Parts: sequence; structure tokens; C-alpha cells
Amino acid sequence: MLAGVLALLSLLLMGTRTDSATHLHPTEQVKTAWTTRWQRDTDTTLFRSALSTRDGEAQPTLVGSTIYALGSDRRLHALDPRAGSDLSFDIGTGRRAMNFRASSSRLVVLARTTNPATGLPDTSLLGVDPSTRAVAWDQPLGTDVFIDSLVVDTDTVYLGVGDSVDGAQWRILGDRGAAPSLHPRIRAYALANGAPRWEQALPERTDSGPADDLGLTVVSGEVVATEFTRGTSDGLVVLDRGNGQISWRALTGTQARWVRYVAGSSPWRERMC
Amino acid sequence: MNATNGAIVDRLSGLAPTQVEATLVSGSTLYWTGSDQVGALDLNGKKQLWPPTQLDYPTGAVTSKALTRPDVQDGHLYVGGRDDAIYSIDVRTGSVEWKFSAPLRAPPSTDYAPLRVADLVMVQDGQLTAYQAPR
Repeated sequence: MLAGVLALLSLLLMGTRTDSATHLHPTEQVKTAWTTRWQRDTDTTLFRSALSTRDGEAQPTLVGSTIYALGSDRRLHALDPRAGSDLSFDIGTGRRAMNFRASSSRLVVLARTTNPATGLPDTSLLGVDPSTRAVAWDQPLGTDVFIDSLVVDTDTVYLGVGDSVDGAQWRILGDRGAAPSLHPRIRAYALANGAPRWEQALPERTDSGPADDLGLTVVSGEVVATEFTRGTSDGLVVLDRGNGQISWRALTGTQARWVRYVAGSSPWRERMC
Repeated sequence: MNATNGAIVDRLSGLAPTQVEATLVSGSTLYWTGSDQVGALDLNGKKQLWPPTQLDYPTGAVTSKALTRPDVQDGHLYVGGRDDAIYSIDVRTGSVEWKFSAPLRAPPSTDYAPLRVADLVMVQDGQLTAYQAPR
């Protein structure tokens, strides 16, 4: 009887330990000031492409005295940090915000709708005036986009794009080793008015599968593109920031990490490691 | 690496884990997170500023959670640990100043760095939540 009770206690204790954490640091009790009440958007048709299969990573950002955040309702929100009061943006009927970057002069948004003819998503790049929350410019991309490649510096927007195809079919071909390249390329647009500045195709690779993800980093005068295939880096392509010409390539597994650079006047500058 | 021509100008091997989850540069310091630890490298002196700080972490159960990206502001580094807590670390010493539980934090948004705004700490998961920062 006693042995049975001890065994039961032991099992209970083990169960408790399984779900616990180490306790190197005491936990403070804090109050919740406010929380949003976003209604989650579940429209999966927005992800029927090959290069954007999930929501973008959009870090909440403080610009002036306003916080900008991409909600799970796929709307861009401007919030008063004290009260949490919320002014969402109208970026067009039926459009969903998929990612954004903020600077003091512009919010740059990747927005999507579903094309009724093809069933595939149509993506646009929008420039929004943060002072009025009005769309200042609107550039239909006409291509698929690497959803997390969006980078903004002082006067230019950079992003990676590729051919728009049905993602499910493309991945089935990929499982058979027969998926075609989606011809990844880098584009630059003027931050002020959205005017295209340059487009540069990345060299086609024969030593790896077609790129299915791409990261961009801006380092002084260069734009660094890291291509990925199934989560593995295929190396770097480094382009001149001004005209998009390829400066050099590193075809090993080198990866430009997204190193946020927080000092100085340009808090979103990044460095390469 | 030299960004102009790709030449390797320096190596920081042995100063951080090989599997770094996130990095952040502030001034001449590079902060990294990985393996439930936070570290800091002096890029000029090419040395650790302090021994890596060990955060609390889940025991037993296998979890795929990762640390959030870090953010540095006014001498403090903010990061979300795998134990669903938000940490403040003194960037001069690497010591944990406080941590509080943020149980709303859940995948897929654990990658977002906590955002400090005045006396509030913002944490985004499916929702954005503002917590009163410990004093």
C-alpha cells in the first residue's frame, strides 16, 4: 500500500518536472496594461504561391510616438502605446497586409488579394504616409515575392521577387527533383514615390535546387542576397546598391545574418556577419 | 567580410556558439542569442564582454520554441526566453535584471523582439500585449 502511494507520488512529481522550467531567475509579477483584440484572418488562398507560404515576420516598430504592428487580422495597425487605442489602415478593399517595414517618412507594405481568374495571389507594394495613414503610392508587382525579403533604407525599398506559380504543384515537382527555377531577382524602388529604380536577376544555379526563400541585407553600399533551398543557405550574391550590378558572389553556405544595427541615426541599418 | 569584395577580414570563431539564433549590433557590440543563452562580443577588442548569460528553459518536455530576437535600448537587452518569460539584461554586466511571465506568447510569433516603450514592454504573438515593466 505504502509502496503504491510512494510510486504514485513519484509519478506525479515527475509529471510536474516534465512541464516546468529551470529557476535560475525569480519571476516578477506584472500587470497587463492592454492587449489587442484582433480577429484572426484565416484566408489561405493568399498563400497559394511558391515563395510566400506564410505570414511575413513584421516586428512591431515604434515611429515617433506611435507603434505600428501587423495584426493577425492581416491589417496594419497604428497604436497609442499608452492606451492601446488602435487606428487601422485602409489599404484597399479586400487587400490584406502580409508584411511591412517602417521608416520615419514611409510605411512600406506588401499587400495581397486573390486573383479571381488564376486563383493565385496578386501582390502589391504600397507606400503609406504615416502622418495621414493614406496610401501615397501603389506598385503592383506582377510576380511572386519572397515575403520576408523586404528591406527599407533611407530612400530605397529592396525586395526579392520570382515567378508566380501554384505553390502546391511546384513543391510536388520539387519532391521529384523537377521543380523549375522561379528566376529570383532583386528589385529596388524609390521610397518617396515607389518609382522602380532597378531590377537584377540572380544568376541561375546548377549546383543546388531552385531557391524557395531569400533574405536581403543592406550593408553600406551593397545589397546582400542570401538564397535558400529547403532551409539551407546557397550562398551570397552581393549587388551594388545604386544600380543593382552584381559585385561578387560566395557560393558556399555562407549566409548574411539579419543583424539589426541599433546605434546611430538609422536604427534599421544592418551589418553582415 | 569586406562587403565590397567578399574578402574575409576577420574571424570571431570561438567567441559564440556555432548555432546562433539571432544577432544584433549596437555600437561596437554584437549581441547574440542561442542555446538559452545571451552573449555579447566587443567587435573592436574581439572578446566576450561577459560570460554568456544562462536563461531559464523548459525541462523535460521537448519544445520547438526558440528565443525571440533581442532588442537593446538604453542599456538593457530585452529578449523572450523559451520559458515564456521576458527578460531584461544589463548590457554592461550581462546580469538578469528581471523577468516576468508572458504566457500569451506563442508560436509562430516568438521571433519578435520585445519592444520597450517608456514603462511598458510590448509583446506580440497572435495579439499585441503591453505589460507594465518591473521597476
